Amino acid sequence: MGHMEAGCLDAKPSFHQAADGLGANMGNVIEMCGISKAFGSTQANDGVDFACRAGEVLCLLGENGAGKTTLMKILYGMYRPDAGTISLDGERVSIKSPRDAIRRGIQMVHQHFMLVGPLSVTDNVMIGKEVKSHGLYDRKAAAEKVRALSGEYGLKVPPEKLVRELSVGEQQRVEIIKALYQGARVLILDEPTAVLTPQEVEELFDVINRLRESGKSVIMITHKLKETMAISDRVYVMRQGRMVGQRKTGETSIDELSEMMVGHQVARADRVDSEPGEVILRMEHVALKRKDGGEPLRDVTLEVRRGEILGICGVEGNGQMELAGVLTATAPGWRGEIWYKGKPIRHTPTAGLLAGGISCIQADRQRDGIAMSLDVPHNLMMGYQQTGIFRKHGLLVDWKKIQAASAGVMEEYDVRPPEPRRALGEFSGGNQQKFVVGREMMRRPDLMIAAHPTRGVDIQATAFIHGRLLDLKAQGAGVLLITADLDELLQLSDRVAVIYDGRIVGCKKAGEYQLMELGRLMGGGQSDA
Amino acid sequence: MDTVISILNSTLRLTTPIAYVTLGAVVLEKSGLNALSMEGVMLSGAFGAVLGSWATGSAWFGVLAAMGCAILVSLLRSYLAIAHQANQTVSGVGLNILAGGATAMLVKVIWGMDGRSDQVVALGDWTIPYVADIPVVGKLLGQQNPLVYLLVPIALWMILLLNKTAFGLRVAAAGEHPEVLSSLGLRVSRYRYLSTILSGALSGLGGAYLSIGQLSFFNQDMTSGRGFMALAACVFGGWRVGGALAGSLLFGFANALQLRLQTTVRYTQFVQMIPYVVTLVVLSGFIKRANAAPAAGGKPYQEQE
Repeated sequence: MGHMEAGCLDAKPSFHQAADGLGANMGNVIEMCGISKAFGSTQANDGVDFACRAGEVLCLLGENGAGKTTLMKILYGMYRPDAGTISLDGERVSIKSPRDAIRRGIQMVHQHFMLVGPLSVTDNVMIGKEVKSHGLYDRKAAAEKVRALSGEYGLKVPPEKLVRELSVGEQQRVEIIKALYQGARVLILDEPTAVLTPQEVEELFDVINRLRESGKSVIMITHKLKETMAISDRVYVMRQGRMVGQRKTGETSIDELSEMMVGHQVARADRVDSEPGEVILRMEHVALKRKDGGEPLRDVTLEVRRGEILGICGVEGNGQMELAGVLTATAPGWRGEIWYKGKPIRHTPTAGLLAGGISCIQADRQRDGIAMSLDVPHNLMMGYQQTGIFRKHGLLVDWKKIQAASAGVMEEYDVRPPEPRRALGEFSGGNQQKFVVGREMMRRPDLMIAAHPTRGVDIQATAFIHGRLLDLKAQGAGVLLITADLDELLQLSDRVAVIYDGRIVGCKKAGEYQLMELGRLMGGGQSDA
Repeated sequence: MDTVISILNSTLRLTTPIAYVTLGAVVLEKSGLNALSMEGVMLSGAFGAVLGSWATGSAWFGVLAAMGCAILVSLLRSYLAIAHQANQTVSGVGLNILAGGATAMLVKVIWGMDGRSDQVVALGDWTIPYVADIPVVGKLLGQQNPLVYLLVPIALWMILLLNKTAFGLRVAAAGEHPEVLSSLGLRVSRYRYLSTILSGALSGLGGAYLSIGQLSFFNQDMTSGRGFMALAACVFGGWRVGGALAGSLLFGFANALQLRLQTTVRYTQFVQMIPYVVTLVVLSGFIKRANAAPAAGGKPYQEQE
């Protein structure tokens, strides 16, 4: 027990000294030693060691289900470890609850924000540690504190505004301010860039740099290698519940990290140039007005051919979602002309479009793509109710067939755990996404609308999904790819159309764009040409 | 002129019980528990008031007993909803039926009568010196039941509590997004139970006004839908104290109008429907509301460890 008290990191000096060269636990704010945690039969963490110094930005890298979030939730007191010890500033502690963790200066910004929409920014920051005068909650003084923190770290947010009126990026800033206000020395960010636009990622990284300068420790849970390389000082890599290793960011490469993460090299699916076929979808001057007067689509003219992937590029909220809505007949009332396979589709309902071979991977999968409380077979059937393929005697549902198909999709798309009886809500986001992609691919569509097809999905599954989309193209289907991930867009698309404020402001071959030009067009600027 | 004053006067009297229960509904709903049980809680309050007054001979003890009874009954329902994640609609409606049956039975057991208690000491009116002498205003505000007067400071206190204190902020968070409180290490159930107690106390006052304020006995099912009107008034008022009071005033006025028209119209049944029609209209959302219901309202919440 003796050497455990002194810090387990002494026991394996070679492992950790590689990182700092100073000697094992010098200046470590946090040391976690031999942490194990099982959920049922799944070993989420298995003897994991982890350490973090003051003023250090760490990335905790791993695929979905590698155990990164579990480890951090243990540090944050949301789970109790089955085995292992945690030390803060070299002193053994037991963190029983988030309240405990907060008191000790550990804060976590969750993937799903812990913010109250109808309350103001100030109120949200204050909950649990309200500024008081004369026993009453003093909103004015509180707003001043928020303003001060906001200025100090470059976190721009209006304190008086209601949180529900803020963009996702702004909400994240509120979360960080909240964490700082509650007294964070160690800030854990769970997949912070998953929901951000490229510009917002830049701003977040500026904030993280300022936090580092002020001596705070930042632990970022992520599976994005580029961002890891861009922001971190040191990287921990986890795989299947174990800590695979750690590297100084300056001394490693994306390839090495990727191999550590996955356990073997990952083949990237790249575009194969091919001669596109006939036009399958044509939109001319399509516009959409909302009831509240907003005009998400103003003038969209584009065509998708068989055997090509048309990428739609734009900052989120410039009409991409409505574009998908119009093409799935879920956003009624549009003006203009749309032809699919040469026929106008103004009065075709969603079911007709599905039957005609249009599939859609919805951007907001939990709202539009799946029913969280239903199990896999029920979700699999969605969109197939009108067809005969899952029926017997022409009328009754053939559950055996659906179950077989569910098992098939889960196996092919590696949806884990492979238990079809579970409700979709019990799967992680990445696994939900894989399921949705599998279901939509099963339709063998002629036109696939893929909105953020790899959102929340790990590297291997991303490569797999990319491969499927390219297969679809090779089989002669048209693909409309809507994504906020520029790398993905340029990697897969034959042509790229830029959407800004509901208009297509540019459209040419993917290879003909400069990255800067794309960025400018996305921001409403002019094309080079 | 006399007609107007008499309608206003009865509006004030009829608003008061609904207003207390509406305040109770606001705080309960804000904390994330739905207020479908207000009818039963109010009825228990009305019964408790008579019981307390009968047992001690003091109307003010009756008021205390009303609050106590209503708190106990509210806690029972909240316990089912919080600790056992009972469906709130079912437990709320169930509680209303239970309260109706239990009070009727207790009346029979205690006073040996069907549906009505003995006469007990009622709350005497307060007369405000000088104000009572002012013409018109004096008739309205000069002499009223103490609970009518008490409504004003209590409502002001509620506004302060919900909008200007840490407690109010946390209650709002419990009703909108309970996970936020959990993630900060605060217990959601604590704020929901405290809201329940407050809501019970307020509804008890409303019930006491019915039985020992306006009358001096308990009558079976004497709340006759006022608990639901309070829920409607709470919705009408956008889950805010001020709005909720305005909503109660609407129902008080509808009731007063109904009483008045009964004497002049032939088909009184239709006139008696007025307050209930107003309830339906308000609850079915014909009136555009600026505020939405608390997002987590009525949903069971499993606290983490």
